[in-house]
Parts: sequence; structure tokens; C-alpha cells
Amino acid sequence: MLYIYAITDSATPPDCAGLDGAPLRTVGDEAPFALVSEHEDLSRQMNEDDLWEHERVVENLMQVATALPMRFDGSVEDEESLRRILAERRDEFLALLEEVRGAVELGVRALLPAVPATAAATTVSEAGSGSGGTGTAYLLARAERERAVADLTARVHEPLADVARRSAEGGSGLARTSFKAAYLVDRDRVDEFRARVEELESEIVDAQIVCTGPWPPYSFSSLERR
Amino acid sequence: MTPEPTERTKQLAAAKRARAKERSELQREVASARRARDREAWSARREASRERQERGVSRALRDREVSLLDLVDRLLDGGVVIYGDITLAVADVDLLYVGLRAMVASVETLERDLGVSLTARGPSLESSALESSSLERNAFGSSPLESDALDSDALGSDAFKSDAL
Repeated sequence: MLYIYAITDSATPPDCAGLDGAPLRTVGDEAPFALVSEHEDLSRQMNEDDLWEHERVVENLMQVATALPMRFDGSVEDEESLRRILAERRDEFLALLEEVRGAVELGVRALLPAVPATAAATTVSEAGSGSGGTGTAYLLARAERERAVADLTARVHEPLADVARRSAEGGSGLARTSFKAAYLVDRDRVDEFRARVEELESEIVDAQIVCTGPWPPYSFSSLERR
Repeated sequence: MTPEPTERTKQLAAAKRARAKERSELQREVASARRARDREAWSARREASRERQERGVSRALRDREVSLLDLVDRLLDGGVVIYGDITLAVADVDLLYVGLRAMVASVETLERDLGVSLTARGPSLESSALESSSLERNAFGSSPLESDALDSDALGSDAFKSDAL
């Protein structure tokens, strides 16, 4: 089986080993190539260390080439099926490689402090003059929180999107309780981006803002994410 | 010849001794005040450095937790997907093509892709170390983020629990 780490524009693998110490090689005769390692059996239980290994391999590749990181645990039976996939999705991969060339991904999360349930309930019972039970209180508190998150999103997102090439907002549609986004940032603007995050941290005191990265462009490696 | 000390010289000597004593007492006081000040400054410095260290440690810890959370988010939810690993079918309709382990781990993706909630979850989902919403709770220490999500549309969650997990 071939475990796949990334789609890349380089035929030369980075100078390191893959999962379980397996040697790395690339598959393909022309770009896009796939960076893989060969394994007898990949059915063992993967763990946190494997996630970091996958990440490390992609980061090493990014030192020397442009890469679209694969989702973790992506593998194919044999080289033939991988070549077929590369041929079928050639245009897509080449276009995406062009889009992320020279850029890295930075992740930003912002979280509002948790509102104690009793405080929320008190506010509501004052406003609703005793009508409505805990269910109403809960829904109102939740609506209030969603409004606060929307407000936070507006304050955090705009200034950061200005510095980024592209952005992708994360989070599921259900019960948004925090702000989460990924930004595709030119390598030479990463410091500028981080400085903006620090400015926001000092401006917005009621929220925790955390920036991680640089990451490989995980959030900018698929067309369906648009 | 040594003149007998007069009353006057005796007085002068005593005054001198008293002054010397005063001076040395003063010196002792100054020295002890200085020591106290140094002690205070030192313990203040030590306190400050301990605080700095604690802040640094908790921040580093928080950042490490968030990094893991972001890593899990990205590796299980982002990146290029190559289909054809496993096909789950319910009543002959292909639902999803993903690695089974990735599916167990990335509840959030499933919710988005299927439009149903899997958060009323069974023990098999909860036991996964990489389950993203439990990490989210740990990292931020907040109340369960998604557990109040709608109870699902039975097709999704039940089918997955019984068939796949």
C-alpha cells in the first residue's frame, strides 16, 4: 500500500523518512507528483504521533517545494491507481498548487469567555418579566452568544483578511460558539500577519485569540471548500 | 609624664565613645535596612520571575493544546482527499467515501457533510482519543461546545453506529 502525504510540483522527495521510518519517494512522470511511502499493512491504529509524523513530512517537503497536503490516513492499494488519480485530477491539482505557491496557512481562533448559566438566566428573567421557563432562558442566552460571536468575527476577521491572500472560515454550521478561520498568507507577510493578531489581542480584551502556524495549506487544498 | 585626666577630658572621651556608639548603631541600622531592602527586592524579583514563568508555562501549554487541536482539525478535516478508501452504503445508496479512522475522528466534518448531528454519540465515538469536539472542550475548558446540537435525523447517526462502528 502507498501512504500519501502530499501532492507536489517536485519530483524530488524531501530528505527524511516517512511513517514508521519508511523511505519517501514520489509517484508520477510530470507534475503533479504524489509524495508517498510504501507499507505492507496500514491497518494498525494510528495515534497522535502519526499525525505529527504526517505533518513533519509535509513541512519538510514545503521547505523545498510547493505542496498540497493530503488529509491524514489517505492511501491507495498500488501505484497504478495513484497514477490514475493523478491523471484524472491533474488540472485541479495544478491549479491549486499555483494558488498556494509561496504561501503558508495560519490558523486563528477566538473564544469568548463562557457565560455562567445563572447569570444568563437572571438577565433573561429580568427582561422577560418572569414569563418563559428555563427553555426560553436557554434559547435567549444562546441567541445572545451567537450575536456576540458574530460581532467578534467581524472585528477579528476583516483586519486579518486584509493581510491574507485568501481565507477560509471554519466551524460547523451548528451552534457556533467561537470564531475559527484559516488564512493563506504570503511567506513574506507572515510577520505582518502575526503583528496584526497581536494588535487584535490587545484591542479585544474580552476574547482569547490564538494564532497557530505556519501550517501547510490544509484548508486551501480542495476545490469544494470554496 | 602623663597628665592626670581632668574631668574635662573624661567628659570628652565619654562623648566621643557615645558618638562612636551612635555611629556604629546607625551604621548597623543602615546596613540592616539595606539588607531588608535587598531581601525585598530579591523576593520581588523572584516572585516576578515565578509569575513570568507560570504565565509562560500556561501559555505554552495552552498553545500546545491549541496546536494539537489545530493539527487534528487540519489533518482530519482539511487537505486533499482521495476517494476510494471505504464506501459506506445504506440501502444501496453510497453515503460517504473516507477512511474509517478519519470518520471516527472527525465528527465535525461528518456533521457538515451529511447535515446531521452525530453528537448524541455512542461509546465508540467517545472513546476515540482524537475526537475533535472533546479536544475542543479540553483546550478551552469551556462547556460542551456542540452537545446541545440538534438531535438528529435518525438515518445518519443510527445507521453509522450500527453499521460502521
